Amino acid sequence: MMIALESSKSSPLIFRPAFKLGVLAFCAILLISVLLWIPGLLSSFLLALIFVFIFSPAVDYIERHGLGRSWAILIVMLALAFTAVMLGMLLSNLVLGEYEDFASRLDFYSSMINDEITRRIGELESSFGLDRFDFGQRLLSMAQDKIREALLFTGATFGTVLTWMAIVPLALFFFLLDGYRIKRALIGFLPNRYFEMSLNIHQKINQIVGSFIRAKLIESLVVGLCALAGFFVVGLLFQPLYYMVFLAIVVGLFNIIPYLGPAIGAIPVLLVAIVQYVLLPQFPEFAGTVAPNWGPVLAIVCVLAFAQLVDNVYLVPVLLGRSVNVHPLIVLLAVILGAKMLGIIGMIISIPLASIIQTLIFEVSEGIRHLRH
Amino acid sequence: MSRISALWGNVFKEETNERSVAAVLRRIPVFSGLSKSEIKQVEKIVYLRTYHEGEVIFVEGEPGAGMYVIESGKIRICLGPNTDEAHEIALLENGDFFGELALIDDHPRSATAVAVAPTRLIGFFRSELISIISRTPRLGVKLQQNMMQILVKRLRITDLRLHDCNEQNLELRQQLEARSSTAAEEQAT
Repeated sequence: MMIALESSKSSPLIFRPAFKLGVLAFCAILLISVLLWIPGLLSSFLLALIFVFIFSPAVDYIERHGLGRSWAILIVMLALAFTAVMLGMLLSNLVLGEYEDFASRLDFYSSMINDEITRRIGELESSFGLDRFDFGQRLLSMAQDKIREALLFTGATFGTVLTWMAIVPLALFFFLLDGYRIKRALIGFLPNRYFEMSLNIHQKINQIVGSFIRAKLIESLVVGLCALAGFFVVGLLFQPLYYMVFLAIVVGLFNIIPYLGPAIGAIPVLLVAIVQYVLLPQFPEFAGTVAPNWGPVLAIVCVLAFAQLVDNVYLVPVLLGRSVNVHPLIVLLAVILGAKMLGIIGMIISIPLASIIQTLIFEVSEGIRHLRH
Repeated sequence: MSRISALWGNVFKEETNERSVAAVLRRIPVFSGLSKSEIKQVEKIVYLRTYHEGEVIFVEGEPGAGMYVIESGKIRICLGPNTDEAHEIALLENGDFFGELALIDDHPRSATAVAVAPTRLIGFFRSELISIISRTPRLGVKLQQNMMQILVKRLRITDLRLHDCNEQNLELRQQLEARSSTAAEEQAT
């Protein structure tokens, strides 16, 4: 007798594999439709999902010391809220002040850069006889709008942020508390044929994605700190870089996005550095006090390159060596989709989500390939 | 004992009439020595699965996910993809368990398991064991120690059988040598 598939037409409809898979697919489509229908809900749940991967080891750690899971979750969430408030109180003057100042002067800075680039492009175009096309100017103004939106985090509206503040902590609490039950219910409902395969897939996704997200966070923190230390040293050697804390945070945050992130994160830093060290000294009110100098700009480029060197030579092999490597094409697609939906925050959270989706697709196809019945 | 497979046969069987999940679990060596509250904890994380006659639980070569305990019914363990009686290496019944090596890693299953009667299984899986180790290490250590004892027992049985095989092999070789020497003497005379 060779292996027979679990078909048995004599069994009741609700026990048939096709029926079970159909019900699961219907529920998944219904859930995604509801999440997409209510604005901010999908992003809140996705954010909560990412936070589950980040904070579940901390909850497990407390639980290991004899406390109940709900208490462990409460302690972690209270610690998180306390840290956020303390950091907010300590850094709000510095970072928010820098952010507000940066936001108010961004137009001025970009117009300065714009004028400078327009002047140079004009010179180039006229020397090649292309000035009637005005191509450079059009490209520049388009890029300027996009960069402005990205740097000021204007993709996510105030309403979206409020929705996140209301839903994410609640969803995080219940995902941490009952995530296990949800998983059991979903896997338990699967037909016998796919049951073991889905358990293996779940375990691998948990392991791979969890370590990827945590490693990415540590990586971005270390890169941000490297950049901050470098900016500080440049400040000691030359003139302190404006908004250095805010810019270091931007560098660290964008570093979460592989391949594109470091380049996007370098844009505001170079923008400020060029304006501060090269363009502003050309104004009459600065004349005589500070001379235009490309030296600090070059030093800042070196700082950013050094941070990337530390990241790629030390952090990536140590932290991400064993976790998933998201394919560049998937990164590009995820970043475009994330930016379209939620602006800059969407770009950043799209990377862990892309890692979840890539691992899911890979593990499901591997699981089906190994299925022998 | 020597007739059942050292790897797949239940060499730990104890007879009892209790039928609840906790009672079934308590009889399994993996869960032996656990307190009532610990058994309750395990009871919460096991999966109950129902299989109809002829339905395959897993096939040789598939990556393993964990072990099963038979709550009711019968499971035939076979070598290779054939699930008929001729390929049977063990027939397991109520209270027996199988597949516990998959609790250690996802190495491919070394045999095929098929239900030969309507069967209810209690599944305990590697992902749950990992979660237990990370959340309640005391219980995790107990389970791992029990698993080590099972492996040691199976290893000892395998070792004994290997020893028997070696002795038989030696005996046969001596007989063969004796025969060939007498044959040579006969030829010489």
